Amino acid sequence: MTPFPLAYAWPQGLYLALYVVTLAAHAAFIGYVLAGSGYAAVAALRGRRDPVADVLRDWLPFALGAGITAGVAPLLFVQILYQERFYTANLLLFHRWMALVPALIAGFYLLYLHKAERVTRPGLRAAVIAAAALCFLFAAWSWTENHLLSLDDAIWRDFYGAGRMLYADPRLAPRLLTWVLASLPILAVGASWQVRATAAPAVRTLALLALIGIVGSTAGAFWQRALLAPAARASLESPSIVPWLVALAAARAAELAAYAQLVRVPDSRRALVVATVGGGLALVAGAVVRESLRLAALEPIRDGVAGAGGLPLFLAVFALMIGAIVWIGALVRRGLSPAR
Amino acid sequence: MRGATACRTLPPKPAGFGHHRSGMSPVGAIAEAIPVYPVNDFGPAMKGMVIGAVGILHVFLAQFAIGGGFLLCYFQWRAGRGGADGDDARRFLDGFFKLLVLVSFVLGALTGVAMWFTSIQVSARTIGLMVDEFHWLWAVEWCFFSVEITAGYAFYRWGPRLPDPTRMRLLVLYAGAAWGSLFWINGILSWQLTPGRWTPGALWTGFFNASFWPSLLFRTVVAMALAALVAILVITTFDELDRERRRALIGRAARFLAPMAALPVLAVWYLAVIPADSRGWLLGGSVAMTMFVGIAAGASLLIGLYAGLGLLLRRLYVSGATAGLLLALAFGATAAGEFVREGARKPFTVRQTLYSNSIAPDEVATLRRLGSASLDRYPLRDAARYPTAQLALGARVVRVQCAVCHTLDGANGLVHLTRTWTAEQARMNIAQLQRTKAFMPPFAGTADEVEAVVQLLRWERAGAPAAWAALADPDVGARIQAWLDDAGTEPGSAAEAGGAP
Repeated sequence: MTPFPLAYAWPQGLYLALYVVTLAAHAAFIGYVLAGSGYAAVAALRGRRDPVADVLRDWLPFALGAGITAGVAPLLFVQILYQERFYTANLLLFHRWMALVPALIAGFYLLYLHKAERVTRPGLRAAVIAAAALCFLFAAWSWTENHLLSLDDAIWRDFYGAGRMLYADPRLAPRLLTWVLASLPILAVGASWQVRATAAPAVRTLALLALIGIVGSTAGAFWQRALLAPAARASLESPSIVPWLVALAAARAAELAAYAQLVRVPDSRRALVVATVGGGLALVAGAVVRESLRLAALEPIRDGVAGAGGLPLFLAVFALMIGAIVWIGALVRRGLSPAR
Repeated sequence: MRGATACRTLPPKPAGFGHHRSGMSPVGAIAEAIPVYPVNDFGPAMKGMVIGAVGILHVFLAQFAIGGGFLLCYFQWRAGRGGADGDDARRFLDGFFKLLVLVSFVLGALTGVAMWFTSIQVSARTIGLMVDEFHWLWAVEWCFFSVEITAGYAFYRWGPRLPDPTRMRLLVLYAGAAWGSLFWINGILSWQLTPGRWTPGALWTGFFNASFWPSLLFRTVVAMALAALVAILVITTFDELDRERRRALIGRAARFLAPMAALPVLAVWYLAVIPADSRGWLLGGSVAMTMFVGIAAGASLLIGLYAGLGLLLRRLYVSGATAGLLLALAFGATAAGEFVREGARKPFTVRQTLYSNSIAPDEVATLRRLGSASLDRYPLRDAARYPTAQLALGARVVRVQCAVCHTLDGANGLVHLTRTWTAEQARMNIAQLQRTKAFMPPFAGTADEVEAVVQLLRWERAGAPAAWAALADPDVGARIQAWLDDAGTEPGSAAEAGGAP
C-alpha cells in the first residue's frame, strides 16, 4: 500500500507532491482571507467593537498578498500535470477567467480601503468589506467551476459551440460549500493565535465557527461523494489514497476535540496547538483527497517536461528562500525587542 | 500503482487523424502531437491588444517595484547618515512612496498572474512550451518573488519601529530579490526571440541567450528610471517640506536617472544580437514597428535630456505637473518598447520553434497534406451564417491560422488588408504568405483551404450575402498547389537569407 505521491513514477510523483503542498499553502492564506473578509463584513454590519475584526482589518491585505504569491506555485505545477485540460477550461470560460484578476485587484484595494483610518462610517466600512468578500467568493466560484469543467471533456465541444459562459454542474454547489466552510477553521487557527493574548474570550467565538466549519465541510464532502461517478468514487478508496483519508479523518477528529476544548477554555494553549497541527494536516490531506478525484485524468509527462533542467537549482534556491524568510522574521523580532 | 500511466480521455480528433497510436502513419503521429485548443473571438479587438494592454501594465508596475527597491536602499543609506538630510530621506522612505512600492508589487504579482491567463488565451501552446522547458526556473523566480514580498511587507509593516541597520538589511533583501526575479524572467522572455543554439533540454543555452545581458541591463536601467520618476512625483506632494528641501530630495532621486545615459549603447547592443530579419522590421522594414521604436527612443531621449540637463546639471525644481508628464512619457516609452519586443519575434512566438499561430515549422509540411482545419475539433459558433461548406471551411482555416493576430473585419482585419486584391492575387499571396510578408508564417494548409479563405474574404467583402456559389475549379486548385510548392514550407526569413528564387 504505497501512499500518494510515492505511488507515481518519477518525475510525476514529484510534481504531484509539489502541487499538493503548494496548493495547501495557498489554501491556508486564501482560507484566512475568504473567511476573514466574511467575518469582518458580519462584524461591521453588527456595528459592535470586535477584537477579531480589528485584527483582520490589519492583516487581511497581507494575507491576500501572501495567498496570491503562494498561489503562483500550484498554478505553475497544474500546467505541467494537466496542461491540456487546464488551458482548455480557461479558454472555454474565458470571460470569467479574464474577470478573475480584476476581481482580485478590486478585492485587494477594498481590503486597504477597509483598513484605512479615513473610512469611519460603519455602513460604508461594512459595504467595503462585504464587497471584498464577494470578490473573493467570485474567485472561489470561478476556480471551482473551471476545475470541474476541465474534467468534463465530453462537454467541451458543445460548450464551445453554444458559446456558453456558465458551467452549471450539480457538483459545483457542494464543492464550493465544502471549501468555503473549510475556510472557517483556517481563520479560527490564524486569528486565535493573533487575539489570544489580548482578547482570549474572542477565541471562543472563533472555536464555535471552526466547529461549524468542520461539521459543515465534512457534510459538504459527503454530499460531493454522493454525486461522484463510480470510477471517481473508487479512486477515493484506492490503496494510495486511503492513508490520506485516514489522516484527514484523524486530523478533523483532533480539531473537533481541540475546538470543543477551546469553547470551554478559550485560553488553552495546548488545545490551540492541537487545532493548529490538526488543521495543517487536514489541509494537506484534504488537498491530496481532492487531487485523487482527478488522478485518472493525469496527462503523461511530456518530453519537454521530462528533459527540463533546473531542479537542483530550484531545490537550492527553495532552501535559501526558507532561510531568508526565517531570517527576515528573526531580524524583525530582534529589531522590535524592547532590549534594543 | 508505481509507474501508473495516465489514460487520456480527451475528445477525439476528427476523422483522418485517428487517436490510436498503434499503426498510425508518421504524418498522423505528427498531427496527433499537435495540441488543439478552442479559439475565442475577441470581437473587433485582436488578441495582441489584450495581451499588450495587460503586459504593458505589468511590466511598468513590476519594473517600478524593482527600481523602487534600489531607490529605497539608497534613501535608507542617506537616512542612516543622520542630519537634516537624513531626516528628509527618512520622511520620504516612510511616506507615500513605500505604499506605492507595496501596491505596485502586489499589483505587479496580480498582473503577472493575469499575464499567464492572457497568454493562455492568446497562445496556449506557446505558454505550454515555455512552462514545459523552463518550469524549474519559473519556480526559482517564484522563490525570489516570495522573498521580495516577505521583506517588502516586513519593511512596510514594522519599518518605522526598526533600527537603521535592520531596515537596511530588509531593503537590500527586498531589492535583491526583486532584481533576481527580473533576472530569471528575463532569461525566459529573451529566449523567445534569440534561442540561438538551444535545443529542448539545453536549459542554460536557452537561458543565457544572445539578448539576455543587453535585455537585463536595459530593463534594470529602465526600472531605476521609473522609480526615480515616481519618487520625484511623490516628493512634489510633500507640502510639509519647503521648496529647497524638496529640491534637494528631487536631486537625490534624480541620480537614479543618470544610468539612462547607457540606454543608447544597450539598445545598439540589443539590436546587434537579435536576428537580422527582426532587426530589419525595427529599422524600417515595418513602418508600424519602426514608428514604435521611434516613440520609445524619442520619449526616452526627452526624459534623458530633461534629467541630464535640467535635474542633474542645473538642479532645477520640478513641479508635480512636469513630474507627471515625465512619468507619462516613461509609460509611453515602456508601452512602445514592449510592443517592439513582442513584434520583433514575428512570425514566431519562439523563434524557429513555434509560429505565432501555434504551428511548429516542422508541422507545416504535414498540414499542407492534411489541412489545418482537420486539426480543429471545435465547431463554428456561427456555422449557420455560411451559405456553403467552402465558406465554413474558410472560417475554420482563419480561426486556426490567422485569428491569433487578425480579425476578419476589425483590428488588423483581413477583409480590410486584402480589399484591393483580385481573387487570383489573393490566391497567390496567401499560398506564398511568407513571401508576401516575411513576418507572416507560411500557409499551413491545403490548396482547398487557400481557396476557401479567398472565397470567405470575397464573400465578406460582398456583404456576406445569403447565396454564394462555391468555387471548385481544378485548374485553380492546381495553380494554388503550384504556388504552395514553389514557396515551400520554410519561413520567409529563410527565403530572405538565401534569396527568393
